Amino acid sequence: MLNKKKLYWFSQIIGWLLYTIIVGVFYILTGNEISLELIYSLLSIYLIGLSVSHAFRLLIVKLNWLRHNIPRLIPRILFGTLISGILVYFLKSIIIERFIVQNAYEFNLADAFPTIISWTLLYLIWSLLYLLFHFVNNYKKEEIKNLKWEAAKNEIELNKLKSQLNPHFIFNSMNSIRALVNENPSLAKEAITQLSNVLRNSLLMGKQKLIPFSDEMKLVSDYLGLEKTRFEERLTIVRNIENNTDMFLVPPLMVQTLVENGIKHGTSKLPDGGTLEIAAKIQDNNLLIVIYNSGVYQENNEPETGFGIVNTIQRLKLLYGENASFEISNDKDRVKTLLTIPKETTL
Amino acid sequence: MKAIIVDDERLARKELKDLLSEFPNIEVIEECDSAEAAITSVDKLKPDLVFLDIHMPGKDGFGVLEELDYMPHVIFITAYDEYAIKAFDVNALDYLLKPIQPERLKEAIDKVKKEELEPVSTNDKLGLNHQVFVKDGDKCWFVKLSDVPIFESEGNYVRVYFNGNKPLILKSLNNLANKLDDNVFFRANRKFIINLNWIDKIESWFNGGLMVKLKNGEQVEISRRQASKLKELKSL
Repeated sequence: MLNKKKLYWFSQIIGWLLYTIIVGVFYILTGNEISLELIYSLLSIYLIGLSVSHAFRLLIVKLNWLRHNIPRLIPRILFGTLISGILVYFLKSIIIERFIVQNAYEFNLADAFPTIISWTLLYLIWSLLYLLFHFVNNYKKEEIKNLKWEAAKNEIELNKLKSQLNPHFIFNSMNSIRALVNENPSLAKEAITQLSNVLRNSLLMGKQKLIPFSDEMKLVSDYLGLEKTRFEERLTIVRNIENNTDMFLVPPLMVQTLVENGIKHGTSKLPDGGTLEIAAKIQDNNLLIVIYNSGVYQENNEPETGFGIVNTIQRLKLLYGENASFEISNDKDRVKTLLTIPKETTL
Repeated sequence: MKAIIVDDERLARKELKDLLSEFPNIEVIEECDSAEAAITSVDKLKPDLVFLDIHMPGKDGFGVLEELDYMPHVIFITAYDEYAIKAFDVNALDYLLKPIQPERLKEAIDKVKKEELEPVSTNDKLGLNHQVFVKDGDKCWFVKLSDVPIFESEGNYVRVYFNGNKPLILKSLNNLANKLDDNVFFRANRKFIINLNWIDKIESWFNGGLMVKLKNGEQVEISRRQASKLKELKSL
């Protein structure tokens, strides 16, 4: 396919040539003879039309008019075409009258007005074609961009869903509950409630964009309760949540995913168990959430964690752009996960 | 049947023990909460059957099997692990999913009873009816030694030939030779141990050596020194 620059020049040269030929044929059909003067005149019309339209395009590009929406673009284009029309009138008058026909040139409004209007209309048609091409072209680009964004969003949604319902956790919990039914019926009942809450919330919350932090922490508490039942004394839980964080809006299931990762790669991998600590506070209008878990973070070594982390980063970026942050690092003999979420005001 | 339960979660062990109380012929002689404890207990107590959780902190269930000298019947237990289950499908090892269904548990135990594996006694060397656990990447097998025509040394590893597969195990050939029953498994040369039951033809070879053709089509040369040993064995 022709590139845009070639296409532009091709259309310009052929378009103006066609126009000039039509004008010439019209002249001859209306009884004018083919003379050197006529040919020169047509040639100058061709060159003037071409160069003025090219100058007009340079102006459009230079002032970047294409960034405007239609209501702001229309007056600019009308003004531009009018100026072009006037310019053509004077150029044409000077060149044709003075040099080709060799009449003395005199300005005459009654004569000038129809010429200017017809050239302005001609440039209007030119502008319409020019803009039409750009709009069609941009529309395609926009559509591709939208589709890509849509695909990325769907993928993130899917990943979210995948990382939420961890079957390993669900079936292990069920197994613990089965054992508890005989041993400690009241604890078994509590665990069933917790598991129902976790399942319900991971189905419902996932559909919302943002939820209050206190709701997220309720889910996290139910989840941790179940893991505590399962790991018993091997899991120690430390909570340090400041009260003023309750109503801060956070993406649903994000903290839960990170806590779950902490247990999966911490306590559950350590024969002597470990500690999971979660703290949250507000600082400079941001919500700071820190999760510590026993164990060592190995980058690129655990595809499943990598998956949870990539997913979290993608979600933060989609929601907050560059305003949120996520870090995971080793801090002595534990893994530190730090999440900073900005206050959302536009929702 | 004497059984050992291996799971890092107390409640999971309790749940399985409760389920097993319905089976009068199964006696749970030990519960282990880690891979290390399991390796020690299995080698010491020599149970008939081990219920082995795959996911454990430190070493996993496969790691336990790779280190065992004594190989009991094994029933794997896992909550959900598509990879492990995929590995089993190929080899028809038995596994149970948590929470364990009593009917599935019964099926698995019945299957163990049906299999006529020779009871393994303490100091015996590994004979034809023994099985070894072999893991190669994602796949794992219990291989009956009667199915193995050749062991081939490859550095610190030994390549085990069976049913068209040739996975590696982390053992030296010398170490393996000491464990295998030398009435059946013969050290042909520095590189190979062959299963005498798989011999198809024997031909004389250079320098008083022998060339053995096995039923799977492989040919193995026997050094002169080993050839006289083989003649002795065979003539007896």
